Amino acid sequence: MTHYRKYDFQLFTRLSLLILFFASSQSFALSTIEKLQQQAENKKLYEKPYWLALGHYNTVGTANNKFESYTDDPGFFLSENGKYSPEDELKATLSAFFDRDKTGNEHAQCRFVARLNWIISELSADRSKLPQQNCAEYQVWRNAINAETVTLIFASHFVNSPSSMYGHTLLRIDPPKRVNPSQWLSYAVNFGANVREDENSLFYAWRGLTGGYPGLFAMEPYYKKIKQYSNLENRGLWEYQLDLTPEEVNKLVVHLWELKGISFDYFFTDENCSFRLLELLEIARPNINLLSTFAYKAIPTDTVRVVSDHGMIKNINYRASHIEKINYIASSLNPEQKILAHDLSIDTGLAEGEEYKSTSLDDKQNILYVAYNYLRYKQTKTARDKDIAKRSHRLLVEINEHGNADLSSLPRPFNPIEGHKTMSLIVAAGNEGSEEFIEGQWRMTYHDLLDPGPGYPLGLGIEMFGVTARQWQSGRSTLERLDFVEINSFAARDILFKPSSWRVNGGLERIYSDDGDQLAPHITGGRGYSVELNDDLLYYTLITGRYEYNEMHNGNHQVGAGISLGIIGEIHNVNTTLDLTTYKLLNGEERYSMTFGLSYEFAKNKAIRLTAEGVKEGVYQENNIKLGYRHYF
Amino acid sequence: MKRKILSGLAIVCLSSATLADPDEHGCGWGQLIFDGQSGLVPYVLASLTNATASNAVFGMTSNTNGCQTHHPINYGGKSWFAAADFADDIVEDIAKGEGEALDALAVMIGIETEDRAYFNRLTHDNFNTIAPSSEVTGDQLMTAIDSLLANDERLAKYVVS
Repeated sequence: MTHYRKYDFQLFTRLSLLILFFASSQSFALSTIEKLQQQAENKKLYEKPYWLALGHYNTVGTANNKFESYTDDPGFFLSENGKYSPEDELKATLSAFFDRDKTGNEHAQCRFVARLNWIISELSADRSKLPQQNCAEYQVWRNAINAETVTLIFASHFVNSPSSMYGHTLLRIDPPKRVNPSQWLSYAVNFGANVREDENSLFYAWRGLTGGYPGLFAMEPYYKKIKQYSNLENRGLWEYQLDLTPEEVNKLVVHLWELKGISFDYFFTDENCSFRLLELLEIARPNINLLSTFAYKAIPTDTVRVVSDHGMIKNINYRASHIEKINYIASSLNPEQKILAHDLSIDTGLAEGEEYKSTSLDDKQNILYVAYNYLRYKQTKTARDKDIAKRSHRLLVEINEHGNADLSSLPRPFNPIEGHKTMSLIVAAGNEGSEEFIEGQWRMTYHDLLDPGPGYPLGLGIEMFGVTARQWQSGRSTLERLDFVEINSFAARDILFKPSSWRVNGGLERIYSDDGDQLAPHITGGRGYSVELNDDLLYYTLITGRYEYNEMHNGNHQVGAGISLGIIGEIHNVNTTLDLTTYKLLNGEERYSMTFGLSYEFAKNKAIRLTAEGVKEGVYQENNIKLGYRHYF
Repeated sequence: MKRKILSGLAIVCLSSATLADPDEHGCGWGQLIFDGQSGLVPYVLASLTNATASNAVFGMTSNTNGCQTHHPINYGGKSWFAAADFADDIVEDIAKGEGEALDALAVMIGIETEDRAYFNRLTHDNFNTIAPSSEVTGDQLMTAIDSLLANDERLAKYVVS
């Protein structure tokens, strides 16, 4: 019996010891939490800018300057009131770190690594006092990224899509160069609206403007971005390597993990891709202030400019688009060789012909380059074609034999962030007929065909929200124009590429008449083609259509059609345009205009502009001329 | 009764988890988590079920949405999945004897810096063996490179067997 008794006793002591151990560890844990909670309260951690940044809290547009997170995703908050209360969220986060019901990947310590790191360091807490977690998924992810440096990427204008005509920004996380010199395998971090593929661009722009999309961070290998931007959309990629220290890179990456699958409202104009990236950079380097300049719009180039102004750019690299490279090599060919390259891409049998065989090695390499890459270009937007595949292979065999063209001195275009700034204010004086006036104009964005060229592609104009008013000699003031949008996209055609050119604009413009002028809402668009007269001179012709609402007309609504032609030139700091437009409305009214513009950039962000215009609308005829100063800021 | 409620809950949790996970479409974090397989390249290739690998390389259309592939990337020669995604660029670079796609492939195979130039030259000189026709598929391409390496004295060490 005693034997059993002893056993029982042992069991009892063991059990009680065990219970005692649990009880003590539990109470110990509780006291640690309470201690930390108290410390956090004393230090008012939840008011610290870094905590607010980690939670994406802001007071923009909220009542009584109350905090609200940009995130709407419940998965991002541990407190029910987390979206609105940095304080509740901090408390909930602290308790969750001590949670013993969850383990591993699902545990708050594994989900919110940046919060954990920051709180621990702020409170000088002992990490070993926390229940230890195995964050396997996070570790695998970290190892895969292998981050050492961060590069800010600007994908240049893509005017054929309203959603990316201002360009796009993303981040690239690079592993150490000694491990991997190839950026193809680096990870691109992209913030984008989660858009269904079947949605068209205009609808996208509209919903984007109104915040109708959830935005998410996504990561994918950089080569996919190269394929998308350089090859498919023919956009150059500017790569600005940032001067972040390894510690700062770590902060960024750790927070990125917290944003996995977290959705934000996506607003096209302000809370967009560029804005969200600046938030990430503020997480990486807590004492900089990048966001404050972007209250209502965040244009990609402006955000890169701010990053540059803060001295954060260490290195600049430009990755030319597919078409740019083809054009560069093609420019070294004479017209016959260009035609040969084009023909060779269609009939590779020409590789056996005398004309090809007799060319020099350099020329052969260039011809092959153009022929092969032209085929690739043709292929990007179509389904696989057996015949094209066969020709591509044949050309590669030739390239394999003769060597590749030399692209080492491909010129780098003007850095877009060194172009003129994107908002502008104009003061001008002039006369119309015999009356003099002073004119003021404000334009929210961006660039028109007369604005200083460097940093912007020739033949591209994007303008949004402009107001023009005049003070006349006689004392009256008038609203001259209200421009909502004007886009001009003139891309030259040649032997190889046949892009179309187009123009669209909408707003209110002054229509002259004998019984008083009228501000008439209109939408005008045109489509046609352009050719390059020389490197700096472009000629265009467009067929146009117009809708106008005008109370002077019978029935108020009018539609019309016409033609526009003109030239655009750019030499050094001087830009010039000449446009001839005529159209006829259904009611029979014919209108003609001839506009000449000349702009001279005499200093950075400062230009003088001369405009002369002759207008004939119905029986009414008027000439005006004005000279003004334009300031970009 | 209780059972029904529980299974109902489980379904709700499951669907909400799926909804919250962008990886479902492959455009989120999914690609980052690689398989960790340390096996043979041929084994990896054999298990490659994604259509792009068995497609002909020439005339591949650029994959634009980036949301369909689950090709993991790895440094150090364990996974070639990603290579199938830009096989056409690899062939082009092999023809030229250099290029970023070829660099990326070398990194994935795990070829050390000092052997990269040699690797470029070897593949360049054997272009016609690696890509004998325009109907070569991603699988065939990888297998050809694999056996080229296996039979090369200097680079055989990179083929795990």
